[in-house]
Amino acid sequence: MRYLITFDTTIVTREQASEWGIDKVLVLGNDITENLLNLPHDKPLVFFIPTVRDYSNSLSYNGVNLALRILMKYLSNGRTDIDIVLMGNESEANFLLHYDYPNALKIPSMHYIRFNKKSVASYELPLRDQMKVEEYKPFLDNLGLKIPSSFKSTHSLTNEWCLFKWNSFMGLNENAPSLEGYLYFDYLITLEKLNQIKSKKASDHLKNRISDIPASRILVIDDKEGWHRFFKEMFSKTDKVEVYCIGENFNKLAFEDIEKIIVDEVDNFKPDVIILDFRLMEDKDAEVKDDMKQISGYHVLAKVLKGDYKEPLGSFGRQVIIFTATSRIENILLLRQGNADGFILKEKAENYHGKEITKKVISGMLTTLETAIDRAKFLIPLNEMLDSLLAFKDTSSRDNNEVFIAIDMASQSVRQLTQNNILNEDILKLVFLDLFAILESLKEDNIESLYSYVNSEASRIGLSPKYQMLWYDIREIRKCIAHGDNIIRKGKLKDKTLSSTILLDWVLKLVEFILGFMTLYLK
Amino acid sequence: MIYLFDDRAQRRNDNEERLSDFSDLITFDTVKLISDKSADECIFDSIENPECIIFHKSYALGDSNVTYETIRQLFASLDIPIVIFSGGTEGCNKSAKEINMNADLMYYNLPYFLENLRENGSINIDTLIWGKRYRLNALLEFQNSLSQKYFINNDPDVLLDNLEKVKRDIDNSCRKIHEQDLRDSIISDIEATSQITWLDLATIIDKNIHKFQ
Repeated sequence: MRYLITFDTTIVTREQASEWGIDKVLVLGNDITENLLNLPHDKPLVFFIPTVRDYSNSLSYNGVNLALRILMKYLSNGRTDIDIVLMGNESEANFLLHYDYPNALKIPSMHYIRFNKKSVASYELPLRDQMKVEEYKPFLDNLGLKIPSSFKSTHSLTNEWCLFKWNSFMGLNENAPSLEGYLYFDYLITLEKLNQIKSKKASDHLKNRISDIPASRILVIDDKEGWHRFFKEMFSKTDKVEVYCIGENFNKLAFEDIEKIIVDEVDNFKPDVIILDFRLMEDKDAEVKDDMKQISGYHVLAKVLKGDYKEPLGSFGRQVIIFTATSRIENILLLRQGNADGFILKEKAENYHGKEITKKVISGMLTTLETAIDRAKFLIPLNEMLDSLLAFKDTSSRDNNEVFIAIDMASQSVRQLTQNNILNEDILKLVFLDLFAILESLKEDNIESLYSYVNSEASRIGLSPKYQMLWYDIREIRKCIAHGDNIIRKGKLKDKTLSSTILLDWVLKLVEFILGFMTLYLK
Repeated sequence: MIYLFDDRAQRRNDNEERLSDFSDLITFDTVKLISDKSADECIFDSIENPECIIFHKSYALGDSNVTYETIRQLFASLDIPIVIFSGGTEGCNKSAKEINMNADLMYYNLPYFLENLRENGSINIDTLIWGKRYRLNALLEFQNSLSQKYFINNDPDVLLDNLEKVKRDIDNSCRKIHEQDLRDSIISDIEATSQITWLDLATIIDKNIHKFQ
């Protein structure tokens, strides 16, 4: 079938099809939409397309760009029996001089003739071998297509491309805005389709992993609404994970307002994990040249959410995962200094091709989130209880100086554990001992007499049986650590190995006990 | 005077410095809204004899009662070229009322636009849109328009039947784009061809576009 696409029905009308030696005239905007969703399905196909759509913008050669998009659309769907004949008002030689991508005419399916009725009517396609779809790749690469200027920043280009790829791979957000209209993205999509983006088996496996993620709350702070939709839909199949998103209007707000919104939302939603975009305020961040500490995401991380172990902020125990496209090591190091707990790296169009890498990246992201949630379940209550312990200093008398010194030292230990985020056995044992030292500060003596002392004090102050029962096992764990023993000898945990799992549980129980005991003891 | 409104301070200051030699032609400005004055009073108080307005589409106006549309309509009433630039606009889109173009492209072409203004004493907005290629765009527009009129529907091998009309059209079109030498060369080549077909005409125009671009 021979089709002629017209941009101006005063030049070629539908009724003139036979005069032009073609089967049908298609009017852009009516018969063919800009998003090319309704292209003909006949086999084979020849399209005659004018090189220029709008004469006042002749140098744009928007007709040629449309032609390339049509070709790539068919290639993406596995069709190679398509020929495109460009119709120009200048000689082919001049066209090759003026058009930005002259290598377009090296693509075997692309041809050029003068825009003339008789020439079109008498045109016969040159014979050519049928090619396989993947054989077009070097011709497309050879075009040298430029990144659209409206996506000049890595941030915006990578955001759009990564969103498209991840949505496609996972089969999410079928109605999400596509990257239509940009020749460069059509080229990337064609390359990916040649590599097959969608992989049902791989994405089903990842979806199953999502349903195994423990109950948790995730706050997404990102200025791009597309990511809000992505994360909401990705976790929509499990009712264990609650996702809340903010930031779509941050580009328009003053930083002080953004700070307040974030602090308020964290207070209200109490997330375990915060996924934080590195460049939250795209326009302002684009102006930052050298001092990356001025980038909005870093500022939120270091000055609004985390702080450090000496001056921790409200989200110190919460896990803040930075969501970024940066590949610059200095940015990653800076964010680590700001106490980022992990990273989710967006796929960059120029570096990553094919479904395998998408599978790895999304799988890596889920692992990062799973680890972060586990850590948050320990560090958030630990730091909250520590805050309560530190509050004793404000309310009690100076007679308990030794106790408060012990609380300060334990707090340093807990804060540094939180900041370093290394929850291995050895570190947890040290933290356990530092916390236990708070009780030891009550009475300078050996563990057995401390045990009796605490027992009798617990009865005297009316400590509930629940806490009193904890005390026996706390003592046994303390003994185990002090003797360098790996096996717990007595109590509920008898014969169990002193693993990091047990330590995570019992560090929290120890702080709970200390809080319960000290609340009554210091009254 | 050309007025350029950009709220991105770093970008505005960098370009103001880069184009300091043209400070007699262009003013880099900000929109200063005052609570007890209307938006149009505020805007018009800050501009004097504007010949062209260049405005950042995402300008953060800081006043919810004044939107980008408000400002845009104010400028439209001035009956001068209005250029709206944005990082999110791809390339350039020219309509009867205004030009929308990419921010980087606008700043890239701005020096050439100002040089052209200085040389010729009048604003040629195509130099802002196309930079140094504005002339080529004008030549191609000329070629495309003539082709649409005389070549697309005619049999290429048939002799011209209205040569004088064609020559007049070429003359008028070249005057509009100030290409007198092009006009003279095309007419000379036409008159040198004894029996001229439509294809000959197209070839002559093509050859001369190449010669004069």
